Amino acid sequence: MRSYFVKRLLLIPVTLFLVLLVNFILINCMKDERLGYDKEMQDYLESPLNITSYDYEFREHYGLDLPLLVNLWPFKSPASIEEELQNHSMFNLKASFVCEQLQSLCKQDLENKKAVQYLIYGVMQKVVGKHSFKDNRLNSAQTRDLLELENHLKTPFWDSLQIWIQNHEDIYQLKPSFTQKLIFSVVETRAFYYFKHLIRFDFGTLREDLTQSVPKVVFAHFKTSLLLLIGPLLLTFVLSQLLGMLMALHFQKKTDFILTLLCMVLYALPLYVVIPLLIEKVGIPFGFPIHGGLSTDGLTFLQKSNQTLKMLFLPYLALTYGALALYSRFNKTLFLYLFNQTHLKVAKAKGLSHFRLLFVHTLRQAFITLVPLFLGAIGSFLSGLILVENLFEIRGFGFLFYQAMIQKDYHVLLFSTLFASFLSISGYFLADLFINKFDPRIRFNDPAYSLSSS
Amino acid sequence: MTLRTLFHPLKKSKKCLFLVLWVGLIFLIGLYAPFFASSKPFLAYYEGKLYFPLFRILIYKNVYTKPLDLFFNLLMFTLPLGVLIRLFIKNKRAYFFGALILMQVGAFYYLNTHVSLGSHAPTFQKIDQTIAALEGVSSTEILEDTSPLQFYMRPPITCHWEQNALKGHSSTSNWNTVRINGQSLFATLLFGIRYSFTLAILACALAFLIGTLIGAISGFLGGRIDLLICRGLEVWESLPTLFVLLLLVSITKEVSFFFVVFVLALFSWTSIARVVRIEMIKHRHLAYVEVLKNMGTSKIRILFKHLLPNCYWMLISLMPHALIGAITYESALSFLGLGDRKSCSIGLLLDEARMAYPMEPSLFWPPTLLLMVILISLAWLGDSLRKVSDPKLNENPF
Repeated sequence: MRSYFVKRLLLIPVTLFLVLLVNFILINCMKDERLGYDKEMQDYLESPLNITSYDYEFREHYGLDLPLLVNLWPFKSPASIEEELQNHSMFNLKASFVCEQLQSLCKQDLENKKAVQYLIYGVMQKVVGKHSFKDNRLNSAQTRDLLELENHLKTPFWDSLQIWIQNHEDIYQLKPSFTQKLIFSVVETRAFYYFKHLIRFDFGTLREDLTQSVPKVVFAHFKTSLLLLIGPLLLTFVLSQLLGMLMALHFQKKTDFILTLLCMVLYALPLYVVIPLLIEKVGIPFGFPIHGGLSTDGLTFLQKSNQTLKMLFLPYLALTYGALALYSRFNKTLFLYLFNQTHLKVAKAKGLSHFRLLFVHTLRQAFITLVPLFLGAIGSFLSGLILVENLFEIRGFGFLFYQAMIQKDYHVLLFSTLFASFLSISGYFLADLFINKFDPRIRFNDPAYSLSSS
Repeated sequence: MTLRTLFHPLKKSKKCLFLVLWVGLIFLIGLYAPFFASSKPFLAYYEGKLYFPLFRILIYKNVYTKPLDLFFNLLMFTLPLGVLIRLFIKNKRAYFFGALILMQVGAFYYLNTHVSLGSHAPTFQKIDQTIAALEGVSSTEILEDTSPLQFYMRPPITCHWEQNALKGHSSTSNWNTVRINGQSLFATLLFGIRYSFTLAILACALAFLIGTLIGAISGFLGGRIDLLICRGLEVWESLPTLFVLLLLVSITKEVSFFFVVFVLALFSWTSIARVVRIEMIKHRHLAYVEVLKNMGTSKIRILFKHLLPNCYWMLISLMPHALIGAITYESALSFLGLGDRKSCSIGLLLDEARMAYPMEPSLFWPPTLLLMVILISLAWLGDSLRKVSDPKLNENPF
């Protein structure tokens, strides 16, 4: 038994890693002009002093200018590099990995302006040649040579540049061996950079603000959402049981018919239809606050709770009704099944009170099914938050995610999806623990059975 | 298992049949949308000759710029033909149906590449101008002589959804609510039925295909493959659906119809795979499967011929709910501004309506009501199908 749960617990990080990998690939397929090399490279070639910009640092730090999973640049032939240069797409390559090919190109043809420019760009960035390895320090002579190069670039005399290239081969000389190239192809990739940071629990910083780390921001936003997550979950849990019980007790009578119809209509109503209606018909006439988060400064406790309740009323309504309709219908069938059980008939024949019959005997058994169900539903409740928080402008988790998506804030997106899937996975895990603890019929010894039940 | 036995349970429940017909009616309204909303008249008696401009223009690529619309305009004629074949031809029906499908596809490809209105174009233009003059709409050229046009018949909404409804459109019509971008709201809604249904049906079909295949393989083979597929399912399910859906759509700048279909299918197959898998596990060790195995029947044949038909009915009863999911997700994407901005999606209309809501309730109610009607009837259909498929639900416990 314990071994099964230990296995499950160990599987959580693996699942999270796979989820992260899928999301990572998805996010990095996103086209982002701010990450492209093109504009800055052009800027740099025009004015060499303008090297460090904020986006550039961000990009370098997280390796966003590198290929996604495998870096095949060092293996390219000089001819294909030449072709890339001719096609004006040379900024898709990083100079440090193609310097060998660039050198051979420069040696073949010193008139090849693009190759020379690109090589010099690499030297200036200190990414070409020996400096691209760990030893970053230059001796004084080399520094002087680089300064000379800088002066050349300030007053671009093409001939003298070529002479500089010929004379200072030792600065940019780099001939990686095959194993080094292989290491490059794995290590110098976006994925490796990201997971390297991840191992140190560095989930990155906000795109706009380097001082704020992503987990801090996400957790701060999630704190606001917590009320919107737990409240509706509990509310739905309780109310759906009551409604389901009512429907099951009045099965095929008028009450059941009306409630079933109501549930069906509510189930079919999408959130984005309901929310504008709620705002217009309930929010404005009855004076409920429609926008804004939960700012309750300088108020007494009573005022505070009153305001919080008012603030939460509409979002709660919006988050609850759909799930309530869905689970009420589910609970109806569940209770119909439970009412038919023999032990309940025996209890009824014994003369137990109706209350005890319903709320002790039946409900206890219903819990075994329902608690895991609701624990597993955390993920779908989280999805509901995106729409509700954006339409009510509550600065919570869903709001943060949507904003990050519009602004293409990589790290927030990655961490939010990771966090959301962590929540839903731990929900599944807790559900299995619960079943194991309280349902005597289910034991996770048999691996075949455990798989079919999960 | 033939089609007839598959739909046999439908006959047991009249409510079910009625709901199927009702959903079919909504679909038919969408299919024949050009008859309700088009800029050209059905027929016009002009200079002693009878013209049918609307039927002419249905296959004209410059008016119906979306391939989907062109396809459906063709389907308007192939569907009745198919029904006729079904009713009147008894022998070798399959060949006729095959020919019909080939005709539809071939004509669609032909129309997509060749564009021509023939020699009628000037006449149609004159007819349009005369109608405009008759209805008192100011146009650039005012025709004095309207006598050649003796008789004409127009659809209730006198403009195509892709055209600007403000230009050359009579203000007397009751159906001329205009969207923010100038297109007619009701015309867009009618074509939106086409869009939503096609998208949902295609997405569900793809999801059911993937889900059934993976579920069947996993359940039937069992063992290590089953374990592997189950772990994969777990990973896929723990991806937060709406989050990843939003991400995927935001990656591509130009969101096309088929991309949305693909994305929706990608995130709805897991539940179907689970259902099919459990059904397979139930039946895998039953006697008839053992007998078939001993008789030397191939595994593939056992799987597709004998095991899979067991869950057909269950899959059919799941279909309406899957359709609801697809329609809702698609509208949600469009609503959040991530769908195809130039499409006629109902979610897009809702998004526009929300922006103008308190001021313009006339923009809000039509798409809302249409979406509600579609979704509620689908939900009802799903419920009654489930009741038919599972007779236990009708037992009274007390």
